[in-house]
Amino acid sequence: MTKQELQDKLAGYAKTAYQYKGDITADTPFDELGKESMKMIALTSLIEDELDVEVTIHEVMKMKTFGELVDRVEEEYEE
Amino acid sequence: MGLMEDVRAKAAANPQRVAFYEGENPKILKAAAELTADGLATCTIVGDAAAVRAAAEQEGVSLAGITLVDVTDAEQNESFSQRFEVISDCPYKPKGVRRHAARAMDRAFMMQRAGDVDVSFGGIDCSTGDVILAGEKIIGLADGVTTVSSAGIFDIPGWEGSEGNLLGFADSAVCVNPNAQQLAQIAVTSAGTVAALTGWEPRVAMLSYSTDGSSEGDLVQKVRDAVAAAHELAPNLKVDGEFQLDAAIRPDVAAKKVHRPSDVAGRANVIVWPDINVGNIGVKLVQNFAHANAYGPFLQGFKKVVCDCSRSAPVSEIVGNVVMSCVRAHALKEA
Repeated sequence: MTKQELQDKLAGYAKTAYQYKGDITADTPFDELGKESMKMIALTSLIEDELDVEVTIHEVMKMKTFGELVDRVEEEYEE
Repeated sequence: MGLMEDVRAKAAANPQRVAFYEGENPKILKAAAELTADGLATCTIVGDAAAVRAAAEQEGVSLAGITLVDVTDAEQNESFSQRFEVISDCPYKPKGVRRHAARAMDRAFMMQRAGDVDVSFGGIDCSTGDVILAGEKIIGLADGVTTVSSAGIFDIPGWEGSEGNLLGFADSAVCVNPNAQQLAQIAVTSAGTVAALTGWEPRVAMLSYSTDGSSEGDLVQKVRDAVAAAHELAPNLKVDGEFQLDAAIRPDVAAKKVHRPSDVAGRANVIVWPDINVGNIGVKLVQNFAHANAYGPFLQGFKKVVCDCSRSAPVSEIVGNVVMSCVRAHALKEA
């Protein structure tokens, strides 16, 4: 999977988790998506379930942009 | 009988099953041993069993009557995982089930979710945030609830309110700046928490700096909207406001300021702060000036009882906190 494909996949998960209707790019700030913990749990659960990559809520809470999440998942993702 | 004596008697009458996931901590070991010896709970310690046994030996704590669940035992983990992965709305896929079943905290919550225990208890080594996140993920939020919150009970020497020295309060610890809908949820869940612990019929006052429109503004409107939302969420609950503190708990003040019938004004037994600024300051005022005990905070809003303790909690406080959680868990089963 290319990085762009991974980003698109993650953006899809984030739209589902955050019920976000806009476009999500690497520059999208997490502040814009929301800080509710249940939504972050939904996002990290999708990532764990679908990609077998475990990202903690604490990690996501420290991230400023969506691109940081893509980088973090890319580090651990195995095809 | 004081609140703690009453709650201990209730816990002893219906001992609940409690899973501790920080069993290498001496305070947790001592609390589990005391709860077991006093017949207040049926205790399980979830963790690295060899390390737990070593810690108990070092502390001179008997593990008699306490069950150990060993998360380093691959066979046990697999057996549990096979049972857990088929529960309805399992929060993990099969690989995730096995990964989390080998972690003490997650395993305790998973056991609670699966019905193996009634309460999972921790917080002496991990943060409240970690407990809440695990609770949200594995136990899940109660129907109609979107925010976790907390409630507590004051025991105020020398004060005589509608329930003697006792007064329920929420939320001083978790939900920082609730909107009206969240404030309504806090009111409804707090009523349940306090009722489970005390047996009272809740009369919930939503507090503000205004009583029944004596002032106007966004802060007042939020509380008014919350009262309306609470009525929608729980039509049979006695919840009213917006009230100033004195109008909520003193009949003489309520008679002067609330010019309409109210089941709550002047005789509230649960007060709901408008935000955590007020809640935190309010608790400290009562503790410092009135020399009150403030029991709690009790986490609430989950499908089952999720609880934690302060990282500096002494053994006596842990025991008290577990006992209260057990009483809540029993009440939840009876509901």
